[in-house]
Amino acid sequence: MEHFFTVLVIINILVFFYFILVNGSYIVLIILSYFQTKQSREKENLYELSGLYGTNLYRTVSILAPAFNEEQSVIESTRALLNLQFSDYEVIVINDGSTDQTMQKLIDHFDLRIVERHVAKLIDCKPVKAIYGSRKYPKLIVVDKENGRKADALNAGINVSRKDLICAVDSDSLLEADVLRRMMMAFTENQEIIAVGGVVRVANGCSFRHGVVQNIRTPKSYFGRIQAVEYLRAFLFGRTGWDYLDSLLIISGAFGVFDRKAVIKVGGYLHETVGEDMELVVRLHRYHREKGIPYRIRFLPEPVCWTEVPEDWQTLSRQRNRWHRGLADTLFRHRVMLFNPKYGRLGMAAMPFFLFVELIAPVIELGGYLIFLLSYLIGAINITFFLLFLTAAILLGVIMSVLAVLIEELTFRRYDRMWDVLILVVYAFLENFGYRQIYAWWRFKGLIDYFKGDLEWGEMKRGGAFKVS
Amino acid sequence: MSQKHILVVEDEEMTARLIVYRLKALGHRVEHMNDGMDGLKYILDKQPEVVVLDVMLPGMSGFEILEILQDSDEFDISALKVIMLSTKQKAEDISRGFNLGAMEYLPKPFKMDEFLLRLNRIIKQ
Amino acid sequence: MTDLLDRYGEQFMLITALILFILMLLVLAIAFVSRWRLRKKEAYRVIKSEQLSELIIRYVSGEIEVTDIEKKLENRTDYILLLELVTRLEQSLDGVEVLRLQKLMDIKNNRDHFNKWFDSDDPIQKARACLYFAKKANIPADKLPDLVSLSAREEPMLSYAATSALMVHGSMKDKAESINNVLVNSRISKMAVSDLLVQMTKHGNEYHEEEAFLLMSLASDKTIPRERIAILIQVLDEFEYLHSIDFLWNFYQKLDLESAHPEVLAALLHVLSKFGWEEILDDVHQYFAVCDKPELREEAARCMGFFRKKVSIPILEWLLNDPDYMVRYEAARALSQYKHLDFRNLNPPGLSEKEWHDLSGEVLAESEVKY
Repeated sequence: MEHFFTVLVIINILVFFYFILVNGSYIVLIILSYFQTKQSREKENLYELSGLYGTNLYRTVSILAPAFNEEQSVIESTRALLNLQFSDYEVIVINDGSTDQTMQKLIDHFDLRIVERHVAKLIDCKPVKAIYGSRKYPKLIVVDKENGRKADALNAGINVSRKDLICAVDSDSLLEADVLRRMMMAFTENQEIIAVGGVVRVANGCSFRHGVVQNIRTPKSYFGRIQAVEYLRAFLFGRTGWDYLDSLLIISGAFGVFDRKAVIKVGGYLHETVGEDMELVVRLHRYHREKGIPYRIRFLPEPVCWTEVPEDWQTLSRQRNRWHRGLADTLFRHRVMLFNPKYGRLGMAAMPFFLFVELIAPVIELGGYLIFLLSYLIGAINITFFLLFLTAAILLGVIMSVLAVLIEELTFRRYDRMWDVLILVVYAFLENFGYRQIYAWWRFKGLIDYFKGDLEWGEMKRGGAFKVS
Repeated sequence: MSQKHILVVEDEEMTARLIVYRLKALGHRVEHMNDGMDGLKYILDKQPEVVVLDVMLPGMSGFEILEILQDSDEFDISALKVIMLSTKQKAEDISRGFNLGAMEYLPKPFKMDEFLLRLNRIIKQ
Repeated sequence: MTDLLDRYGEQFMLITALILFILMLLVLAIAFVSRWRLRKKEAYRVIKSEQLSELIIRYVSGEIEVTDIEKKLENRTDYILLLELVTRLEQSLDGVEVLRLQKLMDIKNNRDHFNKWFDSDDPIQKARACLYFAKKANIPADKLPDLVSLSAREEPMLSYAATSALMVHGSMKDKAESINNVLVNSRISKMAVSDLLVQMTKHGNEYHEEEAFLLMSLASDKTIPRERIAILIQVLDEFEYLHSIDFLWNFYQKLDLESAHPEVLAALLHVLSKFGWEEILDDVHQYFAVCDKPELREEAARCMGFFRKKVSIPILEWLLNDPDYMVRYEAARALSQYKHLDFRNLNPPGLSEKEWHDLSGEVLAESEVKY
């Protein structure tokens, strides 16, 4: 019994140190992201004033918009994309074997005709049935193909594209046209850049008019608000901080611009994974490091893409489950990079961080709660200690979330009402009770599902955030 | 010169201000909208006599506005005088604007005098 | 260890929690204070920018003078705001208004800023200063050699901006050298190169002999990448310099059609047919109308529409059955240009009555001028 006690206490201490480690690394990331954001902000101002945005120095870009059964929204979202202020770009809508009226709606609305366009099969994808063009909308190309996954549709789009860069957008996301310029300018500025990610924010609650965000508000529902805080935090230190260290591992599938040739070189998006966005970025890193080609993958805190997040419990749990499976899959596929000095900071810091802090976090967190409870029940630690520890943990979480909201405030101030900021702060606090634990559980289940070999996507239910108000 | 009811649809704030200022100084009744949707709505509701229309607009392009007006049965586009402004200079764009009922097409950057001259011309037509 | 934890664990956690709690309050306090401060700053900017834009617009309209605006500029923020507003307005204006804006930008304080930026090491700051020079009525001659060497820099924005300034202020030799630098810099986009060349058309004499000559010599320069040649040819078209026909035709004849860059071919086809050079028609009929590149077939159809020769009719009718819609459309449009043809009732071979009805209808709908 004495030994059991000691083991329990030791585990507790280990959990405690893990806890310190995790939060310590977050704090480091916050500090880094603060500098990064400030720097980026200054640069943005400089660009804005220089008049360079008004030139045609941008490299050419294809916007890839996969569509699967989206007859409700496809016209509206395509129209928004056709209205961007670049001189040399094309919009490629990929109809991924929809079973509804998506294709017909596109044909009717945009006056599409079948055109001959030589498509080299540079990367593997399901057969393309036909390619459509329109005289009225010379920038629009619609690819009709057999159903595959999103990754497959994007690959088809990459094959069809003839531009230098590709920008993958989600059907439930909306780009801010003005800020896309900043991402594009990054490619012009630095030749070595092969991918740039931007901030994704929660669209629920905001009002949109024909592809332009009008009023920025916090979502109405509990899950929506919590996710608004989550996204702020994740993008600010999950990405901006890592960008400072030049080891960005994730560019959200909802929004990223890639060098087309680089993506083709690594073979495009991977079909048999649920986390194709992260996997592609890691593969790009790996390829370039292994071949010793100089490259950069950047994240810009400024460009914003608005995405509609699920507000119901079930969809959210499935989405998080899938994300976690995607993370597990990517880390497993590229496990050789772990602790491999050949991959530099990526192998020594970023990969281990994602393994220890992100991937196994739910196991440790849930295990921690259990053991803590057990230790308390058999009297290995006392109640005051237990409660104080919990308080400390929660306070740390709150500080972190509030800091994210604060940095957002100090830099971009997208929420113009004080009320919305207050809501975010309150939810940054509330998040730690209940949601945090449930979230750990979802991720834990995702991990289990991954080991069971589950490749299901989980269906998304849409609420129609971009409907005309 | 008679006073006209003029709508300016232009998203670049300073340019729009300048145009509005100059037109008002000439005694016209001027309204300004900075996005395509609002512009279209105003044209349909208030039926201005003259529209100064930018091509690149948030929400809806100037071409799209003209297209909708042309297709609309209730709206008589021939009664509307349109002068288009745009950074697009290619011939096909200009002809597209003309086909859609624009009476003048002024490439940006433009001279204010020339703008007023052309505006006068279409007002007198 | 267990003992230690037993004895000090509670105190330790208590202190940690307390510290964290204080930290949290601090963070919250900072958040609110900074928000408040930013709001104040923002409010100032809004009011000031309103005031300044009003003044700028009155100034541009010739109602007030530079000094009236200068009086209102109190601090750095004001100057930056002024620059911002002027830059935005300047992009859409030309002529007298721009001259007035340039005078406003040239107030001592601003000039010093730009000179400082020009001398800085940051390529974007430098580019910014160059773009400003490009807008000025004149710049000191000693800046020109610097600009020429900047045009050779690898950074696209810098090379572009320096060349842009030279297009306005440089000698023909400076222009030639900088354009050459831009053409070999693959990081400068096609559109940007074309913009620079077009900028050249706005200066110099009205026949643009020198400019056209420069373009022609660049087009025959073997060190210039092939895909850039198409841009040069397109711009020659814009100069409408008829003497370039001989050069273009010569240039065309030296090309190997199979291996030539399709964009170069399309540009040549377009310019030569626009200048009415009938010798091109044989190749249009025999080669371009039947080649495997849809964009060249499209250009070929357009070309036949320019000349409206009887011999082209069967070929255009054949192109009406092209797998590519854009080619079919251009062929139909070319046929619609033939005055003696009953276009609507042509009913060409290979097309059903309905197909022809739809296609010809589209062509007619688009060519109809509505006023």
